[in-house]
Amino acid sequence: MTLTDAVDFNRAVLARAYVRVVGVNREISWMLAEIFLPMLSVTAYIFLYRALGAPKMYEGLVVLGAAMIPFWLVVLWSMAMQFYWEKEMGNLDIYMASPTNPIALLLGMAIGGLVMGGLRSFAVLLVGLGVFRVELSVTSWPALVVAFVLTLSALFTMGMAAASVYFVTGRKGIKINIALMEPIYMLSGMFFPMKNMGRILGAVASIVPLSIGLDAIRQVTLPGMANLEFLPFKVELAILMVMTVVFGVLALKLMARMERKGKTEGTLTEKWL
Amino acid sequence: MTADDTPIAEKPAVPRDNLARREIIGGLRNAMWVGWQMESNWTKTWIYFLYAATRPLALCLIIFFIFKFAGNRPGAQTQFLSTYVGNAFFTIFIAVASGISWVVIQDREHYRIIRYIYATPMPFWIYIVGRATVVLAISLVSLAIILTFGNLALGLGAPFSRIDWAVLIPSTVLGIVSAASLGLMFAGVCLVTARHSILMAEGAGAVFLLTCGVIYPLEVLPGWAAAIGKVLPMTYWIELVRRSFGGYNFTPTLADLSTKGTLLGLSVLTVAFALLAFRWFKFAEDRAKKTGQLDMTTNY
Amino acid sequence: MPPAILTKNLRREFQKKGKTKHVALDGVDIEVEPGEIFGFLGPNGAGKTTLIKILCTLLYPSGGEAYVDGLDVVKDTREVRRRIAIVSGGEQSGYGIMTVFENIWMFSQFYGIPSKIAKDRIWHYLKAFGLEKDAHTKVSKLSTGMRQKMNIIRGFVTDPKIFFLDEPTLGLDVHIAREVRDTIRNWTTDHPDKTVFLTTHYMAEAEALCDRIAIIDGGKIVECDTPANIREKVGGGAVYHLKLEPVPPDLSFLDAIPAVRNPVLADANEATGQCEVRFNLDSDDQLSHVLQAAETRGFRVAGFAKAEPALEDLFMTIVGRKLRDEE
Ligand SMILES: Nc1ncnc2c1ncn2[C@@H]1O[C@H](COP(=O)(O)OP(=O)(O)O)[C@@H](O)[C@H]1O
Ligand SMILES: [Mg+2]
Repeated sequence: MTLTDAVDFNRAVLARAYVRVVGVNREISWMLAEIFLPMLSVTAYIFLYRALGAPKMYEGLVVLGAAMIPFWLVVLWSMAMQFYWEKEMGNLDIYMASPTNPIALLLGMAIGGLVMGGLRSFAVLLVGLGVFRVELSVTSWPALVVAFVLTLSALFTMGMAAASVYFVTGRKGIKINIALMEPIYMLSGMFFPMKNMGRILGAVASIVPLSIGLDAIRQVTLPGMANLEFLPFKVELAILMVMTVVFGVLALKLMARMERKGKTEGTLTEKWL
Repeated sequence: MTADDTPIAEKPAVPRDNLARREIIGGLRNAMWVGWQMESNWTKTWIYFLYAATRPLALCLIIFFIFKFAGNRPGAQTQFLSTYVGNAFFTIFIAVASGISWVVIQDREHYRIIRYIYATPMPFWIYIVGRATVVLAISLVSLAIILTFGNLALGLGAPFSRIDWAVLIPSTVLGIVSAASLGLMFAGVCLVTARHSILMAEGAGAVFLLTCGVIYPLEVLPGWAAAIGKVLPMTYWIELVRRSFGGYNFTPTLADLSTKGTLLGLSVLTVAFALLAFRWFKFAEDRAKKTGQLDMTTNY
Repeated sequence: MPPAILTKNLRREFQKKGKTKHVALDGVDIEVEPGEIFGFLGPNGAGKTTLIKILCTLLYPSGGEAYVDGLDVVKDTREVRRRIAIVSGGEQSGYGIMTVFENIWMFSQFYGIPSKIAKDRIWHYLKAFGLEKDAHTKVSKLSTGMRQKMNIIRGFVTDPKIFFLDEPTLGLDVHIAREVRDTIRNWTTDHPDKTVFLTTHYMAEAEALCDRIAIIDGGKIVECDTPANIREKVGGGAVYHLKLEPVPPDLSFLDAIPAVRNPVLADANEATGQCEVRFNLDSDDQLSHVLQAAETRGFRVAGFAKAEPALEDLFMTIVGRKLRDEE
């Protein structure tokens, strides 16, 4: 990649991200819904813990989990489904016939999603801290930042890899996506510590970077996590790093394969409906 | 091209009383068939049912793990049963309510066939009811899966042999009607707004989860939120379902109500809800026709 | 300078359900020079879109070679993409919730055009198309015609060397279609080195716009030349209409005159006992032979006309003849 290539790539990423953010914000009610929704589920589970007379720390656990939901939704809906949507909307051939790398399109969606997801996540934290008086105490900010960044990078590379897979599965992809929402909330320990699922289910759950990432983030923000952690903090960081690399390579490979297969079979731009 | 070119608003509406019963039944059957195809024709039937049960099952498992994590007090087992059953039946509520608004969205945005449906003499509400029936049937199957799974794998201890059917069946019918009414209200909202209204429908589902004492007693809510819950039919439906499973005293404030009285109250609230929903949907439909929003799409 | 587009024995097959293969392109050879407006004319299903997709790197050929600006479309994908733009008619591309300006701008950014330059170009073309008032209108609110203009501007803004247009006026009314054609022609006048490759199934469009036309049918090129030459080749120019009375049982009386080609018996009317015979003739001089032959057989010539053929007729002649040859 030359310097001009890199500049062009950036330009494409930013343009896509810009359009995504502006597009969402243009519909006020939409934005409200996006911010409002994740808060409701937090609230429900906090009340459940209260009904059970659980320690205050458990509520912090829920708030952190819910604060990560928006990023997972970005992966699921903005990234994994992207090629498929674009094809259905008749944009994919325009993208593919342009000199830009399809990765730029996905990264653009990721960054746009990061802005939106960040906003929603922030809203959840505000409600958690302000209304429910949840107590978080960050033991090490650098550790938190590293854990968060690694979680996102593993998530987003996973989203990119999924984009090619979903492109091929088409309408089934949407169904899979919908079917995966709550199971992933469950498996990633969004509302209870991952350790609680036991080793076997925990190992299965670790395939989703969200689970490990969330566990790592909780370890450096919740004082009471000391004996509830799934794996040691540093091990979790290492796993996230490996995942980023593996999913990244996989994404590139799958994307090239998708294009090759689509061009051979003539399905690259053919719509389902 | 004729269907494309004729403005929908100018099509003469067929007065409902002109419809023969045969036409209504035919229309219903048609809508059900379309609904089933749209829901399931992407895979094998048994995979489809597994798929349909996955979401609610995951929600129930979340409850299970939360209890495993935090529910180690005396009496937690009955509380678990009450919570699990409440949550399980609530999945029907969500399926029916969001299923109905989804019909409007899906057909308008994705399949772009809504204008052709409007172009047929069948009133749209028949189409919606037909589609909703399919959704309901599917959610009942997944309810059975959830409860059986709970008993076999999670130690739920749901007393299948001792269920009070005389309470369960009428209350659930009423509950479904009120869920459908809510769905119709949201379908109305969907007709006059953009795609994101599907999010609002889910959001509304969450509001009901919050205020209707589904997974915790009303008492943990702040007073004003509990007050909202007390005027919503779903609260009483879930309470009655719980009682039919032997789960009394989950919500102390409702415990004093007699089962018969609760049923009566639920009936009154349901009828009121349904009337409101119908009114609102008609209004929204008229508005959509006036503003030409009936077949709009919103890409972003 | 390499040809703008070059294909050699280009083939594309599609796997249909079951084991059968459908041949969409069957050995296509074309060469388009830089600066040409080249039209690809054919009925639905002829293979036009398939060819455009291959040239735009969206589809692999099953056989043969294809070059755009001297670059192999299979191997030099990225470099080809830098040089082209593609716009299809009847497409619903773009993001409904974004404005016209934002949509065009976003796509321009995928070509590495600095934002400032892109914006200037967008305004330039919006003005040229009379769309500047709608620059900040959401795409979902556009009419089909405006939407298609937006798509074409999207192509212009990326300043392609070779512009591919797949049925650009599909579904547009006559007025808008003419506007679209005019702007395409103006663009090539302003940039004489640019090549336009467009497909259409409107004969008049190809004739009005193109320097050269290839006629494709069933995946095969049946004719490729300038519109004028195609007329020449097929019909030798004019079509002659002769009204005869009574209706002849057949046209064997014309067999003896070698100058008569493609004779057709048409519009036989039982009531009046008249009919019309149409044919091409090498030159007007030969007409006397025809009239003579008719009279010798006892037919009265009730009327006579000579018409320049529309490309429409030519197309039918070419495609019709070709199909018959194959049988
Ligand atoms: N992806 C595909 N799969 C199978 N057949 C295809 C595909 N794309 C095109 N075809 C077939 O190839 C032929 C040529 O199609 P196309 O190039 O789209 O025609 P045109 O653009 O001239 O109308 C048609 O018979 C069409 O059915
Ligand atoms: Mg075509």
